[in-house]
Amino acid sequence: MYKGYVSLILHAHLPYVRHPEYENYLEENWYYEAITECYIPLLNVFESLKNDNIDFKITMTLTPTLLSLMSDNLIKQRYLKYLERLIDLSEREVVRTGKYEPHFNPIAKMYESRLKETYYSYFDKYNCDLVKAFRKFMDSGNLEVLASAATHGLLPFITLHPEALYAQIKVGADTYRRFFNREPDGFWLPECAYISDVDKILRNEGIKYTIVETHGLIYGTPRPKHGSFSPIITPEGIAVFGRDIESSKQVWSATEGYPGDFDYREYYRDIGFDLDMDYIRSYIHSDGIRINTGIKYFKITGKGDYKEPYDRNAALEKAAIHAGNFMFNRELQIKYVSGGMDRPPIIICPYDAELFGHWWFEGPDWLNFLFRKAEYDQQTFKFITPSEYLEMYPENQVSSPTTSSWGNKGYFEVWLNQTNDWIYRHLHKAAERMIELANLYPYADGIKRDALNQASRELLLAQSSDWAFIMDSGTMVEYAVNRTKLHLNRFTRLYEEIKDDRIDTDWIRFLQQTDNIFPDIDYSVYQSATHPLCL
Amino acid sequence: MNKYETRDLPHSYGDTKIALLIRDPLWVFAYWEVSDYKKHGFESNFRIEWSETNPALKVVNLTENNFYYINIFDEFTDNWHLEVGSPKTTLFLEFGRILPNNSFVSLCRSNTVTTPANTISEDSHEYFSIVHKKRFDDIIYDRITKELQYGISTPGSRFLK
Repeated sequence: MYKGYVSLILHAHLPYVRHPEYENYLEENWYYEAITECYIPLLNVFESLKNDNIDFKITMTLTPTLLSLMSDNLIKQRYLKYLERLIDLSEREVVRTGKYEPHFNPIAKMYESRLKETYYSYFDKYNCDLVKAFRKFMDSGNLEVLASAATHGLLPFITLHPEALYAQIKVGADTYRRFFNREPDGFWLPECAYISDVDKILRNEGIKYTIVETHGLIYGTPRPKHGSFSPIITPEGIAVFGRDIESSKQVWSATEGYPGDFDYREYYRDIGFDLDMDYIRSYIHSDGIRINTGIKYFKITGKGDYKEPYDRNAALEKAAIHAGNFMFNRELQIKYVSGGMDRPPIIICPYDAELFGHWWFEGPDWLNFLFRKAEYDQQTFKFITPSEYLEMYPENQVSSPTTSSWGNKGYFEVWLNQTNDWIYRHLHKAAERMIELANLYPYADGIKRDALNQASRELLLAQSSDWAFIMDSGTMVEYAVNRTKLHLNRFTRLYEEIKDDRIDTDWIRFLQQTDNIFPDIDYSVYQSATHPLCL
Repeated sequence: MNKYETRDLPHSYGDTKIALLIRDPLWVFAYWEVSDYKKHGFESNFRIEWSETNPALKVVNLTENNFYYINIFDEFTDNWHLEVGSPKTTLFLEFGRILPNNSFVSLCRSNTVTTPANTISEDSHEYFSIVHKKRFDDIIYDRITKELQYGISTPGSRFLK
């Protein structure tokens, strides 16, 4: 009998960065880097655990935009080209460092070998189908995947138009069903942004549970008697789990967290920036903009600019120590907490998946060590998915969580400040117009139907919380501003053409190929009569 | 992304409306616009030039059952980050004009929002429940009742046509 349970939840998400209009688009690299550094390393960890009969349990979100990128043929082809170029660079680096910088040579060889293995995994083993690769672990019962909103819309800012709120959730849940051919048990609220308006819609989609930030749960009413150590049930019957503070800090915190250890790889020293332009030119952006290549030779070393060469073995040893530390702390935490509870506690540990491998290079190794150590070195807790916990402990305290998010300061300031507040006027107007169109033309067919469906796509793409987040972060702001304007301008033109009955067929076909997400979307999801808040 | 498709969005949409968003337990954000039609109507109703009046917000606090006004000194201001200063407060705003006699004329009213909690609740009641059983019965019955059309599939119906 275990004293408690731990649920690791990795939220994998990227906005829909697909630009067929250009051969080489900088922001598509976000996705290519994530495959190389995060998704494939995670899959390799799962594979190795499975091969060694480690009964691991992990929960993930694969958001609808990410699933759509993973399954897109153009993006698949472009990723292979990206990887081939990177392999070429890594081979040249082995030669260059062998001659001129021998202290980096072992690390250069490591990259060459990793990149070639990545190519083998992606192309030969997974046949370029990452969705299938993840689905395999769902089928084996090791991985539970949560559904999420269609384009990672910040749901509390969409509540002004319940039909649009419904569309974000419904299209997201339907995308999950299309890719995984099963019903979702859990639903990841983008940015953990909770507002009670979502409950009824989640219930209508058959969702059993969601996750909120710690204070979202513990500031709930009535006060949850177990804090964030067991779920609560909302008045609509949705189970809500709360993020655990202690374990979050250990992994997440920039200052106290494991990823900042001096033995780990330094993210901010990349040969894309460090090497001579003449040498690196053909491996960075075609416009000569320096970019991260993923080849980085230094360890964090210390707080200053002085950096020493990365030592892979020392970093792996540190990852093992940190995995042991994480396990030990969970044991202590569970022993302490379980004394005051009438059931074993569950520790909910959600993280951005891209932290693992991309920002924290050793993150996947840490995960690998953690599952292995937990299997053999302790008996206090077991890894579990939230669904499994609910099956064991279905009856929980009724409480209403408070409106909250996992963003800086815990509410919505990240997405609502002077850098990004201007977008909501336009997003709300577009939502209002989309509902107007859906109500006005309930039985459209032919090109009008195509135009209405495309208008739905453009609205959803404009609603991604990523654009407001990037505007706030201060880097790549122009891209986020332009994406917001692009989709809203496209939406408005569609709205006007549909209402004036002068639809430009060629343009619709162009948009269908360019913003091609959600191929089976049905604009009627925006009809007022059909959404659950109106029933 | 081409420049035409990423051109600036319109300043307004010809509506008269005010919308309210929650930022955190202490702050909300409002944006508004007033149509020319509404402005002309206001001018003829009150027999006054628009420019002789001043924009203002009325903050209606439903939790504490009170209200107050905020003068907006800039005619071109169309949004406001407002410190309401109290969590778990239900409120709405009205945008309007202050007449020379200091009375407020409301032109539009916002949605109602409730600011989030930022402390642990004093309510410690314990009720227990389980996850809804939507999947296992509601969904099935939803589907059946949607398909259900009385009479169509009853054996006798074909003879009645």
